[in-house]
Amino acid sequence: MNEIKKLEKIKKKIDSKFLHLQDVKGTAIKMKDNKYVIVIYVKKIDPVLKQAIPEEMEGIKVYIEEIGEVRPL
Amino acid sequence: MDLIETVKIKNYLEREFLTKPFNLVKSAGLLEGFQIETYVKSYEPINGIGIGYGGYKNAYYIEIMLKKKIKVNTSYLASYFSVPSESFRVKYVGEISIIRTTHRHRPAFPGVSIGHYNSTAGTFGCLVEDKEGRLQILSNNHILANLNSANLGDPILQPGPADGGHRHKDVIAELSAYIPIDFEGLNRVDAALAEPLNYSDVRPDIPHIGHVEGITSARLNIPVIKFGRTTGLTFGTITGRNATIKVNVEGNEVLFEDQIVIEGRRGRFSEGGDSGSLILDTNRQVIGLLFAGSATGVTFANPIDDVLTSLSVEII
Repeated sequence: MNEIKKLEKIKKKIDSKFLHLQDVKGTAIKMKDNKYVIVIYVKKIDPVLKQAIPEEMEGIKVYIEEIGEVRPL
Repeated sequence: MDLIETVKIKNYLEREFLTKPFNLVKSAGLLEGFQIETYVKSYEPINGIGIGYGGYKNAYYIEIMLKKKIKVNTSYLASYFSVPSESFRVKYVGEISIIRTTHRHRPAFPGVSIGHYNSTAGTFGCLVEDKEGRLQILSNNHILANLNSANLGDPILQPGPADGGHRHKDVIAELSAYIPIDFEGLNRVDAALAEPLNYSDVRPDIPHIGHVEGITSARLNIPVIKFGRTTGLTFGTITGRNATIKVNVEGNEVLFEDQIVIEGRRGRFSEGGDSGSLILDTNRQVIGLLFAGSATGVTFANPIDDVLTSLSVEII
């Protein structure tokens, strides 16, 4: 399985686990330091969310980014 | 030429050609370098003079920018200043003006304000051709189809209503197709088409960017550009792909999957009103259709391939 397919599969697991949370606004695949990572976009970083979201999933780093509300422009 | 000599000649040409009427240029000999058959008093063919660097000799040169297409004898200019003939380059750039994206334009072009008569305003994305060979303006559903509430055939205004567009004098097109936004399920695109009433009222080139060279897929960390109604030309980087995003549409959270994430390189990449802009790479290949943004300035776009496939159109 190529790397992107593996990432998409892990991302789907993250989506189903965290996307229903009200303050989670989305997820995406990013690249940090030449390595693929998964980012979870949140409205505001708070300690409860930080504790709920793992730092790594199946060997892939997971980051949290605060982006606020997303609206049509 | 070296830089000092180039600057001296540039300053001289600027004084002669840009700060006084063309017919008062004192250096009569210089005018022979510009082969104008009919000399009109108010005719001023030059609208800019700059300095460039490069060429096979890696040297500085003077770039003469022309308002009108006329022949310029660069060898004559070179001998006038006793410099090599490659010291002058001529470029036709046309009229230089400030592009007011929120104003009425005929022909209208990508980047200007547009909108459904009952909405606010967004951006004219680009021109596309449908399967029947009809020309169409591409933008978002939320700009042209008012979030599914519009009817096919509804008037589309340029500029959009928020920019003073009026149903009685600014109708440029009619809503011809849109992909309904699914408020309950997953979406991939926020896209709609409007057919211009007169094809001569639109043109395809994007200001500051030019003609689109094709489409391509999003690759992480590549630089991108866009020209939109609110922020004009901006530069960004694709920082995310395959994004699943909850977009707050009038209080409802609407899900979009497989989206592209862009962040500005110097300040924000987009603001309200930029929706509908095309996002291109530096080779002028289209990557996405801008549709949403976050409070912190992160921009989201639909992959252009999904947009074109869902509407069965091609960019012209």
